[in-house]
Amino acid sequence: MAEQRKTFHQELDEIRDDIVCLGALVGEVIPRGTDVLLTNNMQGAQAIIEADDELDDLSLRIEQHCYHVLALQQPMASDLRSIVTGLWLTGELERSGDLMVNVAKGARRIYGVTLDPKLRGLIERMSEEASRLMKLALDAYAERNASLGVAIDDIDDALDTLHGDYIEAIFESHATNDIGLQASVQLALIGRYYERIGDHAVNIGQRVQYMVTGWLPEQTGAARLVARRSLEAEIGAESPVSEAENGQ
Amino acid sequence: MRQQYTSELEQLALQVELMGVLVDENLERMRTVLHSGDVKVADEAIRTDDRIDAMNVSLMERSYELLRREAPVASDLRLIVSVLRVTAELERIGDLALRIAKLAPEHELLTRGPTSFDILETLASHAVSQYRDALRSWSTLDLALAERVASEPQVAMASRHLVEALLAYEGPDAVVVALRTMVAGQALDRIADHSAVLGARVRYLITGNPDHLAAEVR
Amino acid sequence: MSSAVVSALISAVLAAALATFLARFFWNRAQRNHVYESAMRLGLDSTAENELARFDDLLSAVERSVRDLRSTNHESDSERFRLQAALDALPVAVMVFDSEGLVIDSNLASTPFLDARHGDALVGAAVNDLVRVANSGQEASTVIELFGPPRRTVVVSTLPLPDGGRPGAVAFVEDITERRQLEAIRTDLVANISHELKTPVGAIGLLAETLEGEHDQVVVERLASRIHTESMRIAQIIEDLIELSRIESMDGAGSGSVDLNEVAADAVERLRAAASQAGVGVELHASTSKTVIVGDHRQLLSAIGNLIDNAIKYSDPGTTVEVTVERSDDEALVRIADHGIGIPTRDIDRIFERFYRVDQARSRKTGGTGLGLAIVRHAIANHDASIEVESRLGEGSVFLLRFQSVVDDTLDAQTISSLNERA
Repeated sequence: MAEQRKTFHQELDEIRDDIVCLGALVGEVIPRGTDVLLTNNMQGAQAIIEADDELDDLSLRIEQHCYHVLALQQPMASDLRSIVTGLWLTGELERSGDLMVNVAKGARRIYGVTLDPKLRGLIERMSEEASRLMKLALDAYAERNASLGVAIDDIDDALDTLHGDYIEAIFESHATNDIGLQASVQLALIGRYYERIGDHAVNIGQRVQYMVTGWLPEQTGAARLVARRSLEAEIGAESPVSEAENGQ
Repeated sequence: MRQQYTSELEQLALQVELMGVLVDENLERMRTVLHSGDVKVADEAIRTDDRIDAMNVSLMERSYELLRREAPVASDLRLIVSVLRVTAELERIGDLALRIAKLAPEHELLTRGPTSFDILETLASHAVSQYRDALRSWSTLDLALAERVASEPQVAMASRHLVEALLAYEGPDAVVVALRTMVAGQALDRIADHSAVLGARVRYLITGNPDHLAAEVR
Repeated sequence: MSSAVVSALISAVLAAALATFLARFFWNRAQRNHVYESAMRLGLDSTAENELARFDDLLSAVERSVRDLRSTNHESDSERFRLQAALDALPVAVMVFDSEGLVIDSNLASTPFLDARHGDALVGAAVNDLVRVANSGQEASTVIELFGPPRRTVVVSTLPLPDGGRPGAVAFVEDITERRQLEAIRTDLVANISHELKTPVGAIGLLAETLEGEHDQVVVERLASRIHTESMRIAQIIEDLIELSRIESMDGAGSGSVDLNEVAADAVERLRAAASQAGVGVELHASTSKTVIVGDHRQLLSAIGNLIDNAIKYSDPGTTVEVTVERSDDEALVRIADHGIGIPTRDIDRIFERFYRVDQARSRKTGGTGLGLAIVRHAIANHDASIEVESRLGEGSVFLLRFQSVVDDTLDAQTISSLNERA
């Protein structure tokens, strides 16, 4: 049988499945990278760095697929949003994967350094938190659950707090000479990678909200601007309005 | 009809540039706040960010309208999708600039470590110039420039120096100073990072080469 | 195509899938029994045994279904129904694909992999990849390690199905995490026993040899004292091994009544000296009401004592170990909490294995035998009680024992109070 032309919705489903898969790869690489870091596993670190190609490859395929669908079909507004969301999400996921590659590289740089239990515990927890956020973001996407998508921003606060504790613990360890300067620097950078994964999860959540409702968080700012403008118009204040913002 | 469509596309690209200019202004305000802690400038930045948000929303709506109405192909499609992706990056860069501007009330904390403060300012000018190159590559469609921005090595080295300086700083307030400084440092890092992604998006817009599609594939 | 023909075709495909699967499965079972026997020889716990027994039951049910199937009419709907039920009873995911790679049938265990998310989505993707291989006529199989959490090991295999007018492929997904764990326990146990016993014995031999030719009194004394330490260590291991097999050989905990407040106080008292030597405080919070359970005093003392002993060993000086006894309406709780170094998440599931060490170097310094928690687990199992562990690296660990067999000698007081509440 000759290859049948896939229906538009089959294409959309495929994109969705591939993004879920890309998200799963990211969800896997977070605990894997942390394990590599905490067990001084150099082979594992190499494996993570190499496996990132697979992630890049998939995200490239998804992007191409999105373009392909946009070019072939004339989708409706809501489907358009799904496709463009797909394009955005691949970026966020792909960059999250890169951050875990950075963790693996960091692990190589601190090879042989013994971390005290407190630091190890905080790394474990940051990792768990980052991967929890990522999973929630992916759930929100797969279920088209806008309110879950938005909630991720609040849940992310826990990771920020942990990150603060972690930096403090690095300072303590460094002050007592348990870890040297270079190791401290590496560890501080590693902590930031986890925090950024959390940020990416928040972004995904917001994108999902947009995909489902067509509402953007930036609309709050836009609304504020309109309110301010009308207030300024009332009191007759001068306000430079660029032509750009009148466009609509 | 067709002619109107073409001019709409031109308008769209121009609007992105204007949004980019607003972001640029806010980056400049960010630098002023970082340097002096001026709360008034920080307030201006906050107001301007609302304008950036408004432009983002309007650009997005227009892009969608075009995608829906015109079912564009080839380079037109690439342009519209690039607008959607580029504005997303601009919006993030604006947010990051604001994150630093909002540190204004605690500005004094940042200055306590003289070395780390110095590095912060260096990071800031690096990030801003990286951004300007990226924006210029968009308006001039300069492939060489876009490629250079896209492949700019990450500023990891500078942030390493920043952490080193912070660890060397001794004082009872060391941890607070470090945490605030690192918030700023990370935001600056990411502005440079997003600018590199911007460059990569412009590169794809120009070449249409699928290998240039995923920004991070370098 | 009439529905009868379709149904017959699907039955044929399913039967082929089942037969293929069973052929592999018997081999797997042989493997499993091998692991199982080895585990038994090494005296592993009864949970693994139960799991395997349950598995065997399932397998027998499937075998019966297949036997029945052979003796019935091949085209009836009830037969298809039965076949589906048999497949659904399997703990292994079985999916049948057409030549285009679309699922045409699947059993209950495949549900997580269809329209999957997270780790399961990766398994699903691997299935699709391997089905493509199978549809080109090749067998394929891969092992997927998932970090989860929880960590899992999954085997995906696909086979081309015989071309009965409708070619396709069948895929199996089997979770072999447990089997892997049993294997790990087995290999680690052998290594650990040899490490724990051979190290001190070897040391004694070496020290004694050195002692023979030594005339310097100071050195002689130092060597002799080392020999003494090492022999104490062996003695301690032997003592714990005896205690462990004693507790293991006891089926249940007898029918005595034991006051948990008393046991906890007793255990704390015995470890008072060790605690103060380590600079660690021990606080006992006894429950306010009498907390009596059905059990064996000596086993409980051994279990709670071992937990407190561990808590002290892994605490930083200046911190406090808290021992709390509580009772609610239907259960009694003993909680041992420390603010010590904590246990890495990856090790928590394994600490109750005999001779399992989170950190070899540290364990030798603290002088544990590596059997303490194994004793605890068996004693607790004998009481039909449960044990929960919560731990954070750098923050400390909490071991919580839950006993259901509370003796209601406070019934009167309780009845009154609950009546009061209702009034």
